[in-house]
Amino acid sequence: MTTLTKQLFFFAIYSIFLTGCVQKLSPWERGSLAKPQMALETLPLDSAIMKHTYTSKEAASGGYGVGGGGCGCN
Amino acid sequence: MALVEVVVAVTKKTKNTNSLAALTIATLALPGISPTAIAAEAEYFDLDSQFTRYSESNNRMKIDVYQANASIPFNDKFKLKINGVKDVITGASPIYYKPTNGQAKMQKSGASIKDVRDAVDISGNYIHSAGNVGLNVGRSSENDYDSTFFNIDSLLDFNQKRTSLSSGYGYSSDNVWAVDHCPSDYIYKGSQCASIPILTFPPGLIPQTFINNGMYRRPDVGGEKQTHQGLLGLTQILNKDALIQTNLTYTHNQGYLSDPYKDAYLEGATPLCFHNDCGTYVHDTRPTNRDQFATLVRYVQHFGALNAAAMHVDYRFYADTWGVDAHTFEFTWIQPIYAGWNLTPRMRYYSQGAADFYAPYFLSTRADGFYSSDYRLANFGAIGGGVQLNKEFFNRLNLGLGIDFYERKMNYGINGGAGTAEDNFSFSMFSAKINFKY
Repeated sequence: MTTLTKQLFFFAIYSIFLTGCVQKLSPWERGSLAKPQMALETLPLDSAIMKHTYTSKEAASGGYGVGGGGCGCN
Repeated sequence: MALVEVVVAVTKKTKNTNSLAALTIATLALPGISPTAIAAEAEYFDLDSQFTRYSESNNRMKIDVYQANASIPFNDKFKLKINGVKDVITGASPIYYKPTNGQAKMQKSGASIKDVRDAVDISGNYIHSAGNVGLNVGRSSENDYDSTFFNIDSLLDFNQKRTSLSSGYGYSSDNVWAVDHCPSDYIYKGSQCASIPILTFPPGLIPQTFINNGMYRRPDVGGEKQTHQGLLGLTQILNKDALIQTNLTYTHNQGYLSDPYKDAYLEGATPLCFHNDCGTYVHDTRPTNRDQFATLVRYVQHFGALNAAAMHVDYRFYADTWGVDAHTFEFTWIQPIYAGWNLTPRMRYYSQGAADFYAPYFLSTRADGFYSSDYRLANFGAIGGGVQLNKEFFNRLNLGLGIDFYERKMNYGINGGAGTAEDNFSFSMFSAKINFKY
């Protein structure tokens, strides 16, 4: 993938935030968003081990946050 | 990651309150209202633990993972988290590949790998008027690897708390080396391999560090490396049933980035012998710098008409300066069933292109001198899926079971580049978890 293609790809993703589809919400309208199943990470330990496993078996990593050290995983 | 903790933390809290209080706290538990959310959750001690068994096909790696996490509140502004992980690792792993009748033939390590990884980290999170800031420090150690790291992260709310800006920085200092058995024809005295009749060491280097039981630290491979990570993220509430998050991460690695256990077949190279196995192969040799870029988009949608089910859709694009690019798609459906039961099926697709200096084997030398046949740098794709089942008891105890499968195949990939079907494999993961709070 060329550098220009990558830049366009990143731009396309961030254009999501330029769509203007955001609604105003009052606090009492946010009940659904606050439910456990709406959390970005619903099972933190499970999420941690899955990401660790994928990072050990694939070349790609990152995106979810910063943190943690490496490992001598084979 | 702070935002994630906020949302998870507060939603747990709601289970322990009456409905009005739960709604109030849950309302405040949204992205962008994190300070109040953490304050509410901080009243409770939370203990989370999980056991996972990981098994690869073809008698390769098998790992038992023990995880535990304790969240300890001090007051409404500060909480402490302690996290521990122990991996017990056994099995075999590919070392290099020989060309045989035009096909790559894998040479594995044999079922000789035995290792234990212990990792612990401690984090503190402080809440201020416009968000929160966290600090995390930790250490991980194995027989052949150690890592010391710290991270700082920050979350700021704005746009009437409908938008959250997260940022973070992480640093890791690692040491990696290889541990091996003394070859069978070594003269073994005490805890040392007394002679080195076969192993070809670089001039002037002899084994300096010996480990008990015939194991020694190889002097010809390994080294130090440092990692710097940066994150910038934005979470936006779209409407009363949907939110979206996007993150950008940049990682700079420098130092010894090769795998000390892996080699690459190189036609015409000076024969290198180890454990009576001589061949024209070279040690896995990679550049000493690597820059990684990843962008992640996560979309979460609530379905009130389907018993408050939630759909999570993630997409990540990744590229690095080694020539690898990758796409990751994940889909998760969380379905509340009845009386505290939750069923969570999920699917994942991953595809990556090969690194510039990867090949199953090399028939000629490379001008840059980099060689790797590590299966993780090849072109391939992978399909995964699984399901989690959870049940909550007494608003205090949550038990869960999970199963996941993963299948990697060269022809599942869409990115292109070198690879071999010899590296096709699969793994399964079975997990049991328990969460308790009071």
